[in-house]
Amino acid sequence: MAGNSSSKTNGARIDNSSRSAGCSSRRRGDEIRREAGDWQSMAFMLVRSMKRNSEAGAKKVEGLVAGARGCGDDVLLGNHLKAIVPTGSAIGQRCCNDRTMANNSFLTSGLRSRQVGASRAFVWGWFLCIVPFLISGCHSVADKGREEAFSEDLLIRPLSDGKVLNHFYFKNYLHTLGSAAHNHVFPKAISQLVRKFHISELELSFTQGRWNYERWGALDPVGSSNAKPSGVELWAEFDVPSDQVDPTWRNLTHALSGLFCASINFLESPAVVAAPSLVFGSRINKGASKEGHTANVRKSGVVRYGALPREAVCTENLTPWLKLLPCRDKAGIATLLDRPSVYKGYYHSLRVHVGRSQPGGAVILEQTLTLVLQPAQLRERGSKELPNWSLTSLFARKLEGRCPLAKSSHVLLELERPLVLSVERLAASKSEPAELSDEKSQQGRRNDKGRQVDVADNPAFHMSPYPDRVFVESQGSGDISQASSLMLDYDLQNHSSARPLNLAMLWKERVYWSSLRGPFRVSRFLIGSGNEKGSLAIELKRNFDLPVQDEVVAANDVEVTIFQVVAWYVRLYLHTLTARVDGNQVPLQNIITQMLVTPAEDRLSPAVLEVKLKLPRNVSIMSLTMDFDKEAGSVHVYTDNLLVPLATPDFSMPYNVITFTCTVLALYFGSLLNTLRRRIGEEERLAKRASGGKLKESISRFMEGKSATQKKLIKVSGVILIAGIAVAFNYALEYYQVL
Amino acid sequence: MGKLMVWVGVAVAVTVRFVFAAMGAQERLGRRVEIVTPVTSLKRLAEGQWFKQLGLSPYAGSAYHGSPLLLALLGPMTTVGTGGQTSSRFHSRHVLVMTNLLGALLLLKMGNLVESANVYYLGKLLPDSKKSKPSVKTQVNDIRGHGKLGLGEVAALLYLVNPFTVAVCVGGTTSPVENVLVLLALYGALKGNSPLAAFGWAMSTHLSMYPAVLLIPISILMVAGPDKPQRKLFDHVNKIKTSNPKLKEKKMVGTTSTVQLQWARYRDFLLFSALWWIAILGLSAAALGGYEHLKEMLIETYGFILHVEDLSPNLGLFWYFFTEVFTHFRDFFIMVFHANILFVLVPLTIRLHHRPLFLAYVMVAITTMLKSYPSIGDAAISLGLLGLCTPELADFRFSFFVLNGYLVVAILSPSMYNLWIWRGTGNANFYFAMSLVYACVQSILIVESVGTVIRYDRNLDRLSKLPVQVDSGAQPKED
Repeated sequence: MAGNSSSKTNGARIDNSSRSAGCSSRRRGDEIRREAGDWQSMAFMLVRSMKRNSEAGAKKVEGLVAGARGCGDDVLLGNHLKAIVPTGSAIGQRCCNDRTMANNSFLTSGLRSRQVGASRAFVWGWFLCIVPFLISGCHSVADKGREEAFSEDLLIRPLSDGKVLNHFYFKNYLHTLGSAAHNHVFPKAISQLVRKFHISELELSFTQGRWNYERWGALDPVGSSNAKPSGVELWAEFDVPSDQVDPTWRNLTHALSGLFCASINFLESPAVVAAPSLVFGSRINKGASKEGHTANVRKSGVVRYGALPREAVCTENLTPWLKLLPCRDKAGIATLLDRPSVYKGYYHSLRVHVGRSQPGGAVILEQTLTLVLQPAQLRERGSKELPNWSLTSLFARKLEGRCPLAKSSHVLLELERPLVLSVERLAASKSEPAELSDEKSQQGRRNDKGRQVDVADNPAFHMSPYPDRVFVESQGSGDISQASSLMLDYDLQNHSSARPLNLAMLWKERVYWSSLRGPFRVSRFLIGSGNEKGSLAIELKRNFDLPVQDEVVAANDVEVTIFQVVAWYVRLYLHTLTARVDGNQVPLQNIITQMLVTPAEDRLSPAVLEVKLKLPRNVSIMSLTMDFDKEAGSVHVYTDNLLVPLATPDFSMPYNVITFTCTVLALYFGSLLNTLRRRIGEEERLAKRASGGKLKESISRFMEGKSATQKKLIKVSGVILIAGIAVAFNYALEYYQVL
Repeated sequence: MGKLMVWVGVAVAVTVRFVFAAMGAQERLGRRVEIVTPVTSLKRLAEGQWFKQLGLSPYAGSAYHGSPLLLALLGPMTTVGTGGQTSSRFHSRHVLVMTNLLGALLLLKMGNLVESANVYYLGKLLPDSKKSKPSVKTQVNDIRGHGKLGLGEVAALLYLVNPFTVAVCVGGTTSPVENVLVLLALYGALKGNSPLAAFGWAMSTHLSMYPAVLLIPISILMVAGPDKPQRKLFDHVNKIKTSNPKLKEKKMVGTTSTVQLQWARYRDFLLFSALWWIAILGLSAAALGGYEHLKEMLIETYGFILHVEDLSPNLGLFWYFFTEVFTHFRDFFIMVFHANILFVLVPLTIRLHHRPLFLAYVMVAITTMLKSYPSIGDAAISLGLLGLCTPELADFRFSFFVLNGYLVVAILSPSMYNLWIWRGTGNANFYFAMSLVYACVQSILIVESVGTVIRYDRNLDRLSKLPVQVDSGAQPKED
């Protein structure tokens, strides 16, 4: 900012053309995810645009990677960027973005930007998390030697259906893990966890509610990477030999369940855990790999994924999460987290992400809380007006300053591009064509660009207080007249308990807009009825209302990766996999480029299906060759949980079942033996027995001629003999038992 | 006349199969749990083939639990033309119809052998002088006289037109193949063809494990020949003959000296069995890609059958019992259930050693009832073998009851399944009740047929003693 002398702007700008040419690997994607009660399944897809002119691009990327290395000495900054951006090219670009803030000349040389020193500042931000570091970047460069760093941010975005998205973002940075015993800010629990279990990356989320991709958007950073499936989702990548991954995972689940008061330990069983290889995994490794040979580089088998779709999320999870923050909820942005307000929302997702800047490098802990709240407002029924809101109406609190331990503390209000467009249209209908902008840049640019509309006070809404800064995202190549999304920045440094921040938005007129939707609408459903058989279908519907900037993407093939976990008790017949494009069945090999199958084992492991599809934009571009090695970013779209009704036995009377079955078996066995025992010569033998056996004959012969007393004696001695034998047998038995 | 009936019967049986298949019955029948079990499912076989084509083990995914040889044989048929599933079904259906016809042919041949043996031994036991008296021999001849069909033709037609056989063939399972191998083993043993008997026994045991118990009847068949009355009856007859100088010139029947114990043949059988087993294991290893996979094969086939890992509903007693039983006792009860087959082998052998074919039928019927994954395909072969024993079972007492029992199961078990799974108005107990009825019916059939054969032997005994008792002037008491 300091170096940007051309105008009094509050940001920096890079022309978009450099991005589209050099770093054309853009992120697109959807991740689908559903679970259902007992059966847990997930579909997950990444949609990638494919690069057309890979050769030209590769050269650019090299340059950019070099740029990235050039600014890599800024550990904090570099690491952060690596952690969130998968590609080398993107790293370079973003890193340089950052540098632009500090030193414009770097941008010129590194990126060959066409419009250096553009009059209006611009921050290209796919990720919200970039923004605070754009601001805090200078600090962090200055505090290069520091071991730990903490920053807190809150992003607020009005949604088109009147709800308000609140995204809390806390970032904690620990340079070296070794001295974990002396952490000041970084939570000890996490550093110990990372050290003990050799975690390369870990993500844990507690979610309640469902992210509405259609209304709340899928392309923005919040929708694409923070929208999580309901329940608990955990995935982790370990830096251990592959034979130790499972025990480590088991221990990790136990540790986390203790740490977050959740039943994560249920994920220890390998029957519910998948080992994905295409979809999840370290962004670090993906990003850090050379020349974008990313997918192949990553070690396979060290990632574990598990989800508990039924886990209820409550304050008992929030409290330990807050405990990880240096100021807890006593100061700073976290003070807003009033429990009743948090839990009355439509969507609520608590997330912990632990990453490393590089294998064995600095530990970065990101904690986010995404809330979609409905502003409470008294209004007549059926009113279409957007409800006004303020921090007090949403959270019943005001922001009374920052957390003293935080390096930076910002509240950002995001106005999406479609919203900005509608507001401008509204303003234009009222007067002449206008552009939404902040007051200061208005003054500077009034000459070039007709009338400006104030960002904080325009025909559509009124914001109070006035933002400290405004960031503008630029649009398609160089055409700055087009609407772009705005980021209104409130620095909490300027606020205190004496001067609390109560951000408020008052709608003056009804504005209609829709959030950016993903390239595909994904739905997953079951075909068939009854509890026996059925089919699982995943449907991708193209969203044709993609904005202008996505035309480059739209013209190319789209790569989609579907990740589907199916519990073993739902048996998938993978050979019945068929694909249809526009209703016509097509051979699988035409659209499937890669397929990884981990078959289920009964009671042991779920089936994991990862399919990489190449979907043609239209049939004429089918023959496009594509570059596998380029790793593009992705949008994750989780589909809804799917409840598969299973045929269940009646467990009410197990004893009846056991007795009935055993009776049938006994009947069979007994009557068969009985039948077999009956002999043909039975009559003869019976007759023989009646006339007396040989023993009886000999006894009677022995008794012949003996006196009565002799006979008596013989009988008595016989009884004594038998009794003696019995006693001896008993003794022998006892002796044997003693032995 | 008889020949015409056989050909008409075969034509009807084949037509019925193709008509049902053309009507799309495969789709419906192939889903019935009474027909398809986890071990015999063609769909699972196709899944195994799919994994195999991907270069994975065919047993991956706990889908396929059959033999790798069967997979090599039938697997390619399931994937003929990717996407075009109709052609693959067409091929596998042809194979199954052919195996059914082969099974019927074997039954026909076996029936002819058994019948001639019956005629021979009964002729020896009951000389022509006593033909005026009601004898068992006339009972035997009655069948031929009235129906003009030989024993083999009856058995073959019973097997071919049995609705269970038809359903299993049309529904598409591997049980017709298993059945035909069992029949091949018994035919080989009956014929005295050691390599054939050894092949049938080894292959059928390899495919479905339970035919292993058939080693006992096959051994007896190899050594002592087909079913005949007990030896002591011949002793009795011979005594009369020796005591009667008129009959002295006639050959002694049934004694150790006259019934040549075919030990050489049996030795060959054992030798060939060993050879076939080596060949089977070698080929399996080749199909799986290495000897180290043989252990996996054993675990996935025999282990799967013995451990009862799949508890999806079927007509057997295992699935519900082991769903409900407490895990702690699972192992114990698995042993008890399997022991129910093994424990009766010795008593059965002692009692019925002179009737090896009937012994084979009883053993097949018992395994049909006490299998971990039974299907009506097993009932089809046990009922087919039953056809070979019709002369001895002429005065079977509960035939009406048993027949109706089968009908009840055939009609009510799909209905109960529908109520439980599709309509949700019933529960698993409804279906399990049908499993119990099926087990009861089968156990009645087994017990009663054993009882009938023992009664038959007793009657033979009595009839063979008749002249002696007439001579001595004592009349046997009729019952």
